[in-house]
Amino acid sequence: MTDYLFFAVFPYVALAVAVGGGVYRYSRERFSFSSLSSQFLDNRVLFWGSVAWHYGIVLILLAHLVALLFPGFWGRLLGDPLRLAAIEATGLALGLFTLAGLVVLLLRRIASPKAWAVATVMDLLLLAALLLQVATGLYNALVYRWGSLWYLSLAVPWLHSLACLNPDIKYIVPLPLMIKVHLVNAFLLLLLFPVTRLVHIVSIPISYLWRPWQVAVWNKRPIGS
Amino acid sequence: MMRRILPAMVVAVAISAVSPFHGSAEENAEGGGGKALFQAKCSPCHTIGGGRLVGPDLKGVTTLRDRAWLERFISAPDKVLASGDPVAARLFQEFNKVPMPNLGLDQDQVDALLDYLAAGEETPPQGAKPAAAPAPKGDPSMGEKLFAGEFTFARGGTPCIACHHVAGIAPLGGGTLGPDLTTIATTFGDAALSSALATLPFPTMKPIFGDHPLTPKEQGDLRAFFRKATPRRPAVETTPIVLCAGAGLLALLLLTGALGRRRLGSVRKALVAEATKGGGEGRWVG
Repeated sequence: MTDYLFFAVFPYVALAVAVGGGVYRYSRERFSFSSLSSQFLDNRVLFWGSVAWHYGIVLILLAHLVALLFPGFWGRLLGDPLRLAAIEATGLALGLFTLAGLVVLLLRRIASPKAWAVATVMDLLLLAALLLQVATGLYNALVYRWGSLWYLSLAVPWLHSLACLNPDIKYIVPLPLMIKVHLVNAFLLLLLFPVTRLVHIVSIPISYLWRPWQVAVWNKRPIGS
Repeated sequence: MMRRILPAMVVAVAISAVSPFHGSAEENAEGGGGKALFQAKCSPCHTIGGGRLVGPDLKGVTTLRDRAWLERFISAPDKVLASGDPVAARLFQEFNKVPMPNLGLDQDQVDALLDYLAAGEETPPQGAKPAAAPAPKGDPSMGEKLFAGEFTFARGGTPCIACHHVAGIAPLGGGTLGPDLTTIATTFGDAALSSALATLPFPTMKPIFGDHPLTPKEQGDLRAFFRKATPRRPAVETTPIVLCAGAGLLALLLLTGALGRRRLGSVRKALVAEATKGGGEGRWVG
């Protein structure tokens, strides 16, 4: 029954809240769709946290997404022990990189008086949920190897069954607790999406990638010069 | 914001609570009697009067053991074993340290099974069927390729390497979600190994292989591979993957540092230098 609630009901609740809450927030407070960057308050530490975190998590999420959307391709890609080992090692390295970035972000948020002054309870809750997600992901990748491959046969059919509105939890029920925590927490993050700065995921200024250079010009002489 | 979002969350929870989804199809289909349950859940590892397979022959088990104990053990063998129960511990040792999986049976199913076992009807072992007609001999090198995923299973099953290790698999070994299978051929013995490969009854594997069983040839190849591997020493190595990942992390950090040093490049660098000249207070930020 608990498994049914967590893996057949909760994902829909989380998705409904994410979409409904996201649309509601966008219609009421459009300009709050932002990462609320604190880069101006402190940039040196942020660089190490933000760069490691964002590059790491985007690539890791991309791997999860490619395996989910193109299971046949992913299966063929891993159909060789050498390629499997290379992808697992790369994934684990990226996972550690992501964790390092997240820990820096968390410590900076707590240790920097300026960043702490603008932090909210939801920021800390989100950081804690992300930390749990990355930590359990790394734990599962290391202790229950090879996740890149069994993900295809256990998590992907379950996610497909959710997408088809016919949840089938038999793949998930016998799995170890830490894998279940990783799965539930992923949907918890979806739930947190509309009520935290995580909304900035859908406000990515993608045009950064191809727009021309912008030159910022200081038109005020700095004091003392 | 939270206060305004909350009503939407409550509505979503309410919608989900009345959703029409109930239990898996497998759960609903398991309303059969004790015999059907025995065939579906127990026969891959047990016989009644047909000799031992992965687990003991269950002929006469209801007179050998107390019914209350059997109920507890069949309902949750993992918990009984973990509780230090001496009978469960002895069986675990006697049957090659292969623990009986928790099959998730409810009380009605356990009662039906015990009634069936008490009735004393005998069943031949599932593994006996292929044994009667000589099993395919099997090619160990083909078995290894199937194990490692280099050749895919004809009916679409997951390659064993996803969850299992066998000593000698290069370069970083097999998976660790399931047990190490290096010595499975000697641990299980021929009959039990054949039965296990034919039915793959283990809780995590059943959903995967239920609709994608191994073909008789694949079973033979894997059996031959396991026989060949069995003299090797089981040793799952975590160190190599940790070292590889550690080296990867170091490379990523160095790359970040190297690219980060140049991030105030070209036009902006000159502007920053000019703006901060003379110790001005405003330092440009990134």
